[in-house]
Amino acid sequence: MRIPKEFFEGVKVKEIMNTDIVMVTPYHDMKSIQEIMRIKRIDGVPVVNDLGKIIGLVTVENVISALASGDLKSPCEKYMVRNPKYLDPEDNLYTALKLFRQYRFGRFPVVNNEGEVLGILSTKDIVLKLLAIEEKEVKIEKKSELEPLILEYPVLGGDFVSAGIASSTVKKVLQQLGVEPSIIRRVAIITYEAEMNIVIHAYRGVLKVFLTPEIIEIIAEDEGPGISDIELAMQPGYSTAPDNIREMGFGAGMGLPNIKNCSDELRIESIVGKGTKVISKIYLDKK
Amino acid sequence: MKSKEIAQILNFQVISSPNGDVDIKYGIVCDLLSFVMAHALEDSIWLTIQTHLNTIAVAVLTGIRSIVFVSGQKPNEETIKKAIEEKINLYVTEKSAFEIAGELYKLGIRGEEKRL
Repeated sequence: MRIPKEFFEGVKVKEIMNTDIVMVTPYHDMKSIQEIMRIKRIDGVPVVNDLGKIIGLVTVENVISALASGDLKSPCEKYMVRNPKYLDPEDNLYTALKLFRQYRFGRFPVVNNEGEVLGILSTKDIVLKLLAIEEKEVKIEKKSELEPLILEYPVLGGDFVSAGIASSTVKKVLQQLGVEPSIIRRVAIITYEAEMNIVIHAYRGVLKVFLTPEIIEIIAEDEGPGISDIELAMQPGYSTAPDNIREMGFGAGMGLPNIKNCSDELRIESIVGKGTKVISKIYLDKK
Repeated sequence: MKSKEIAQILNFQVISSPNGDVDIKYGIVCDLLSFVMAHALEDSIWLTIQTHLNTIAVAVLTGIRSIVFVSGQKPNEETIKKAIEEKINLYVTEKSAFEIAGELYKLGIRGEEKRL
């Protein structure tokens, strides 16, 4: 990724500086400043006088010096950086980066015309800002690039010869798209069982799979006898399949429970004498 | 162990062997297709008496590489044709599923059910 200079010039220091800062007076001892740094996870603490104007900056390097001398009880005045270089809140990021390069400091206080400290800009704040841009770019790319992919297959009731072809095709497409194997497996089970339900019980139907980066939605809709008691049909072992179909290894009352186990969300709509619609969702961003 | 090696050692009649070199890691014995769908692992060998075409779909969807039709069950032409197309190895044996499962276990093949 190459970031143009114009981008850095368009960002003001005051927009990305850390304003959650702690200021100390010259009489604060180094020990308490060390604690402030640890708890607030900061590496620079501005030192102000009684009028609230900046007179120095205690950095993590200063704390180390005091620590090395076994002198953490001394007032920070002894170790702080006096008259530190600072940034103006209206400075842009490009100016700031030049200052970082020139002095090789890890952070600069941000000070207004009255000498009051408004915040601190550290290299960490800049890195986080850049990461935010990167994430934004990726999100936009994903949305524009990937429209929902729709797979659609007709399924014929009683057609045991073609049964399973639709779900096999779905599996192959997902493999080509590089979908995670564990997700593919769940989709395979859902599509297979939904497809077989249409073959076994209905006259005809359609198996549809909608794929987006966030979700896979499987819809199996059929014209058929419908389900009079969905709750009962969901129970493992319950089946209305005729004997000749059971002999083939179907109709064990495992179809809908299998679908349910593999779905993050499952909805079944059915009208007796008209047909059934099974809507199953799998979320992809869920880790 | 390679599928074709298993077939040779256990004296299976080879019906189709489009992917004989595939490494078989697990085994499953079941005639209920939905159960196999839910529990079979990738790279499995499957012992069943179901010979119809839909067994191939189940194999493709679960990653079963080889099917052994036990107790002398024979697949029809459609099933064989589809198996070759989908690169699923098909074998027939006169022995029962129980006998073959025992032999496979001795060869180091283990059954591990998929927990969903």
